[in-house]
Amino acid sequence: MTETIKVLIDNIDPDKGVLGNIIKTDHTHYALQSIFPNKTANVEYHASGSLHYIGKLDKYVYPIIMHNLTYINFMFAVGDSDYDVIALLPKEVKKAYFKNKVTVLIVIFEPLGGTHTSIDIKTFVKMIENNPRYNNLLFLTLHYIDSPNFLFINILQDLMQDWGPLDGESIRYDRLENYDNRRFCCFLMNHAETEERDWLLKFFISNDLINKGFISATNDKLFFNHLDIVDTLNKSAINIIPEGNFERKLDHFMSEKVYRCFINKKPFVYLGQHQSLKYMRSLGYKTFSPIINEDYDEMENDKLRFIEVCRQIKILANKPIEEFKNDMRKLEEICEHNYKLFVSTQNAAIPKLISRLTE
Amino acid sequence: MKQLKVLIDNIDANTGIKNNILPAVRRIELILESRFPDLDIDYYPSYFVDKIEGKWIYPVVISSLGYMHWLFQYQAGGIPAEIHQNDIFSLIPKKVKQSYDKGNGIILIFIFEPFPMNSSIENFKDIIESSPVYKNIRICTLHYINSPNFIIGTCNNYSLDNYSTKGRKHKAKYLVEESNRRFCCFLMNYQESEERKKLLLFFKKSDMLSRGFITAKNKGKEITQDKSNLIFDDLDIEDTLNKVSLNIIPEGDFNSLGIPYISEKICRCFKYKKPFIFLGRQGTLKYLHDIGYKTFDPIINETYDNIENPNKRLMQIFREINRLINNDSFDARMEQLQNICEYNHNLYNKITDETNKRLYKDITNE
Repeated sequence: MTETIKVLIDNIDPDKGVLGNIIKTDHTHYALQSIFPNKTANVEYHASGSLHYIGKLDKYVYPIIMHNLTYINFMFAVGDSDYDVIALLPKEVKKAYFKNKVTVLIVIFEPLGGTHTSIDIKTFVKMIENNPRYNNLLFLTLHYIDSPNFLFINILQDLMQDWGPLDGESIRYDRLENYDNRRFCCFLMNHAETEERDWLLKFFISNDLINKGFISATNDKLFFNHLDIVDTLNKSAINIIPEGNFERKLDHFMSEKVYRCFINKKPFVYLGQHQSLKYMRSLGYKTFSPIINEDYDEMENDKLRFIEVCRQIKILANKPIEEFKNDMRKLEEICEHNYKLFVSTQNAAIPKLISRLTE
Repeated sequence: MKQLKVLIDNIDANTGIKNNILPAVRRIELILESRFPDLDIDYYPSYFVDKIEGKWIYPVVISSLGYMHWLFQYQAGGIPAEIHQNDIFSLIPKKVKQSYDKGNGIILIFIFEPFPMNSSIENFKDIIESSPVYKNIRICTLHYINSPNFIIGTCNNYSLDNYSTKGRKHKAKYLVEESNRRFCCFLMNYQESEERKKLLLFFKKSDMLSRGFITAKNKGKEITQDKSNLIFDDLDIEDTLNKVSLNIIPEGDFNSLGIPYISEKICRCFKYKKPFIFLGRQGTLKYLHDIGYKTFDPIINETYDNIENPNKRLMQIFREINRLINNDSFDARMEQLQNICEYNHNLYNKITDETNKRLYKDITNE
């Protein structure tokens, strides 16, 4: 039987629906859909204010969905506090929280420790774990954190096949029927967001690689504008991932961009934080060395790492086709392993999360 | 227990339920909980109307009748949807309207004030009944209106036993020593109407302040002055009624020529089996007879009900109170009225049961 997760929402607008708790985002519904995909649980919304009228409390979840990590340090304290996240809960929710009837579920979509004002993850986790006030807090983040207050689960499920809700605009995807398969794909999209994505685009142009891959970039006529993720991955042999956070020196994280490769069984070249591949391997995943030279992952210098990533892309793109195909075949076993590990990890984590929230 | 699923547009995280559409002094959750004590009430955010299995209600409370004519329009013969830009449907959330159009729920309107003078119930009834779109609207009023859209009696258990919606309820231990008081009169906001002030003055001048349990805001000090200690600020209704033989009802709307109505003040007497003298709209006792209730003539002279002139009616009522309270055989006479009270009590329960049976069929889920 599908479990029902009773979700408390402070503001359910009669016309707009579910609005965000505490942090005013309209993303809450999408976020929960993403955490509990394909009817793994029945999400049932209740107005937080309705706790006033309920005699016998059930078990509830009070979600807080965060993108911008500037907030994070404001919300927690070492001891009792009138100035932390618990103090911000509506009165009845707070009462139920301390009766162990509410789990405050904090979902953080950006890597922790993203700004120079952030504390490091270990200190943060310690602060949460050591404060009994936070016993009923559960975090879902992009990081694997071994702590009773944290669960590691793909919170970006809604972005696995789609770009997610882009302010309600409907996307017209470029059609790929008339294109032959290409060696690689690279979803740059908001390339203007980060410097290394811009460099990568310039690299594709200057090395005449535009026609060797399906490359998307917003508002640039040389490239595709919108590519359907699954269709494109299916027509490509390898994915080049411009992760973002390229210069980040803090704890590693996993995002939907890598998960997409796992679920679609694609090898990848990763343009991201130093030692990200090492982090993936520490979680049990396999990467693609020696078929793809992954020395770039060990290069701490960001510019050198970027150059080495580009060099590997060029090698792969210009390899004789039979050799390339042969190499890709050799990577199928690794992709299969990653697929299985990802699916089994998810399949184990979701019931664990559901029981944590309902029992 | 049958379930009532209630749609609320705004359930504030801290303060709870806000009334739908119209702000009103009376809080909807208190009204519903007392009007439907035998139902299991669940509140749902209106936005999730399409997730509700079974029937729902969308309650609206109207205290001031000024709103009334904004909410409904004459629409006989089938009117295109754009007309709803101007009626109640322009005010309810889009998703609720969509679900209403599919026949999934009822808009339940509580009107706590009587229809004012010059308003025609027949006309209003015609507007509602002749418009197919209003088929699933139910209106609880103080008037007995024979129509599928109207539900007899707005008043509910809560206002039967309490003066206000603030949850005030005093257990009146201090009444134990007060065995000599024959009647009660809950004046409360006596400053609201002229006849209540006159009634309080009458009680004072005729030395009746100590003969009954009389309540008035701040003990009516402006009028009672040095005798204010003889009356009460607030009393528990049930306890007080159970200690007296007669209730004097200062209904309000005394000078109004509008259609009679039945408020919680009369219903209390039915519930607690008390005879009463009524200071309200002329013809109210006749109205009660028409519905099937009995009143207390000839033991209580009720000719006052026929007197159109408010001053003369008031004088006649004062004379009758004076005659009854100062009569040595008061207790025996009131005892003689018990059969009528019993009859009214049973009829009141029967009407309530039948009304609820009809209403519950439309609004509840098993």
